[in-house]
Amino acid sequence: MSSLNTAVRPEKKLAQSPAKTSKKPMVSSALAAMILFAILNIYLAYQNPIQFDRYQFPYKGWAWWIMQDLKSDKSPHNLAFLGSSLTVSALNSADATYYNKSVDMVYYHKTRYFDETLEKALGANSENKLGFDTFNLSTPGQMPSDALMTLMAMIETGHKPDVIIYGVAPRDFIDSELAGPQDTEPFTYLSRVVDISPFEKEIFTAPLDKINLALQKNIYFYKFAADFQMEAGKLYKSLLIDRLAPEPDKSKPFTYWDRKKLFPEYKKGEFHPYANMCAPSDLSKPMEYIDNSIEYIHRYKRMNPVAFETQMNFLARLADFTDKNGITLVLINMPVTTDNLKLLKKEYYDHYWSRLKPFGERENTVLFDMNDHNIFKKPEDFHDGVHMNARGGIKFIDHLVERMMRSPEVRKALIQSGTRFDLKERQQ
Amino acid sequence: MLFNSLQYLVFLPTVFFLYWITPHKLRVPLLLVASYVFYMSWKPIYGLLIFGLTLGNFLLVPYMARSVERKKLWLGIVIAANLIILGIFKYATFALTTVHDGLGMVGIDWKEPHLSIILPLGISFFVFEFIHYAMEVYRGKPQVDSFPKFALFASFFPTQIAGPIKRYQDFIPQLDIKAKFKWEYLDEGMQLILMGLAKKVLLADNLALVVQAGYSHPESFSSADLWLCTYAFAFQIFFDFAGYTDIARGSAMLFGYKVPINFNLPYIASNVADFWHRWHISLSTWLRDYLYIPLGGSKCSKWLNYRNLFITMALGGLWHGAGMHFLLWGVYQGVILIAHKEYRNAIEAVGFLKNFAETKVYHWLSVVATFHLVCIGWVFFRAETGASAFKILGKMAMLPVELLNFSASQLEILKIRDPIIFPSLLIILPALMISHVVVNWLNDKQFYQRPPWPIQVGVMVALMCVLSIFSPDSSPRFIYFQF
Repeated sequence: MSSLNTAVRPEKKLAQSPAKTSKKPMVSSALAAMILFAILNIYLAYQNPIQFDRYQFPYKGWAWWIMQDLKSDKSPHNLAFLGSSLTVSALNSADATYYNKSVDMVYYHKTRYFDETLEKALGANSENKLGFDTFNLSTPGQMPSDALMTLMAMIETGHKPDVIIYGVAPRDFIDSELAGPQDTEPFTYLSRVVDISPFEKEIFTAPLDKINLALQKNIYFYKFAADFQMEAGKLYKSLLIDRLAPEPDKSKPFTYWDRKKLFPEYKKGEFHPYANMCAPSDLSKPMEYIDNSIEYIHRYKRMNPVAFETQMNFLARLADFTDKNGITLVLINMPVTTDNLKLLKKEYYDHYWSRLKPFGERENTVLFDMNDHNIFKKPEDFHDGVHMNARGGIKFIDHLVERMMRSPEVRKALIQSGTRFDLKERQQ
Repeated sequence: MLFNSLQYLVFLPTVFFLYWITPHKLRVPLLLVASYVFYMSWKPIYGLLIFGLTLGNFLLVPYMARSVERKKLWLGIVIAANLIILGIFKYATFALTTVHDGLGMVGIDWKEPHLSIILPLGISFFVFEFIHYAMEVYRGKPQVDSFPKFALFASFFPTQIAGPIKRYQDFIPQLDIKAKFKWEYLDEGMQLILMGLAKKVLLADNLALVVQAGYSHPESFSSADLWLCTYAFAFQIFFDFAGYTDIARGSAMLFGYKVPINFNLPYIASNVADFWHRWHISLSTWLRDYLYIPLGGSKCSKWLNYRNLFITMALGGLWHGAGMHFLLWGVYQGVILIAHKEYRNAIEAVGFLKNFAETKVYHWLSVVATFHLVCIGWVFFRAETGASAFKILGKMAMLPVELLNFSASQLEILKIRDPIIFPSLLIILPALMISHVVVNWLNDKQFYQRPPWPIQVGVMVALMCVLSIFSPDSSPRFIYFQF
């Protein structure tokens, strides 16, 4: 048996060389294309001929709705809340129940009960004119990296609060389900709005992420990919779709809910008006409690030390940022149930707390540990292992305001802010 | 590692650069290492599987070749060993479930053992390449003496995961050519890669949204909608797989290697036999050479020939995946190929029909009919189960009734305005169908293979811009990766 290495030759000449072209070109077409592409990019990067609206995005997540609200809102906001769904749930449930009105979480970014409780605690009246209008920047899943970017984006829109109240919990630092700060929906959207270059190195640590960032910075079309997609979509729709394939029967429109049913994976985390309503609760009756332990078993499974440190660093950056901007930061260790904490290894919680505690000693930052199981109890105050219900939300706001009043530093900042606030400008 | 990933965008130029600065004698080891890195980036442990299979075949096939009296037995052992490995990883769970269901039908409640086996990527492809090698050596063709070359034949990263299924007689000699870098390699390679990515990202991925909705919720769509979804799938699978093949061929071309083509405008086939000469060519020729012909091919009685055709296509269907719907798809292909043979005989027997069959009108009517026959087959292929396929087909069969009182308002796809691909179907599908005819015409004019230089450059620049915008890194994996 002869060896193939010597005996067999390709059956076709084609196997040895690529297809011949009829006329040999002067320059390689691939090389010419790469050079032209590079020139085009350099030209566009320097000329910047198209002005895109950086607040627009094809994907309408929580951060997108908040920014649209902030952008269109001309009234001043002297306080702001940051935090994850723990904060969202407590504040919205409290308002919906206290004022007996359902709130659409897509549009509703107020904290009326908190503002009124605070004004009352500071003795606001017709003579002692002080007022608060808090903007609720908290969004489900918000981590310190998102919180920092959200606050920076708020300031970009011309709203600068005097006091920030930021509710944190172990999940914000220890979540096995999230790989890095760049994986969240707020990051994707907000990185369009704020300058992330000061903390790029901290976020993009993996080699591929670094390469991706370099491509984004240097390839114009990649950098503005979402903008081009939106513009191309609009153009395509107006030129072709609306003319050649118009909507046939507008009496039975295809709704957001139809879309969720038919293709649940498409724009999975997008939110829609009326899709996330918070309804009033009857405080005289026991409320439903849902056991979400399985979800948190996965979330607390392992603590990624790199992710933990990254988020702690972002919290420090946030504290630096508020300090630099003359904003008082009130950091709150949010209440969660004892059942939930049992799912988290004790050493993880101890580590979390040991790293959180020093923030209370910083200039312009106050830390309140509100994870007090003698005050916030399961099941009466909680909807599940971590989210407070309306009763818990109201209790949380009452205790928070009480703690704020007891802190001379916060009280002073609030009086200054409340006094400066022009009540006439408060949005109705 | 996926072709449409950032990882590959880094990997390919790195290997390309290293390859052309490496002396010829080190190029095979370099590509071999690169191919294993490529494979093991997914699940490192499965690198051992491909290595073990390669080593086993490399050692066993010469043993078979040397054997005089037991050559056939040794061939059987080599093929069986390959198929057993494939069977364990790909079909064990399916077999157990089928036995469980079968026993359940006669009232026996048997708890089948739960196997948590993850299908190694590309196993169906490289197992077929090993069987091809064993069969060819058995038929007297030369062996490969160099283990690194043989190992590279099986693991060559551009074709490793989803083919095209190579022939060693074509591939191994290319490794011996002391090639110097030519710009043509880069030109042709980049054109193919960019075209492949465009097919995948711009067409296949968008059409996938329509298909996913239609096939997972057929009850929400009208009969006409389901036909449109099925047309969409016909083009989705074509552009997904053809896109993959273009990237594979383009990547190989960057190193100066030619790998076989897989598609030749399949939807202008004028009959089902013609379709199989144009669709997944490397698989259909493999099935012809190593299954259909060994079974007896067409050199036997009519009924034996039909049996061979049926078995070949049914097994070809099952090769695509361990599911009853894949088997049904294969069976359907076998049946329509047999029916086509009978139909052709019937036409040829009647004088005026034979004359009509030679006209252009008949040709184009046949193209349309073949396309629809293929589309019916795609329902079995795409549906999640056999039962679901029959349900969808049942609804599609109601089209004539629906057309009696048809209005555009019955088309659900027109009501869905986001994603925009839904209303776009009415524009895109006819355009894609016409594109097959146009490309065929351009091929006849020999324009497509050799477009003028400025057009080549312009198309590449345009594709670079468009692909930067519709970033391939966020697109889903290729359909044929699961096989």
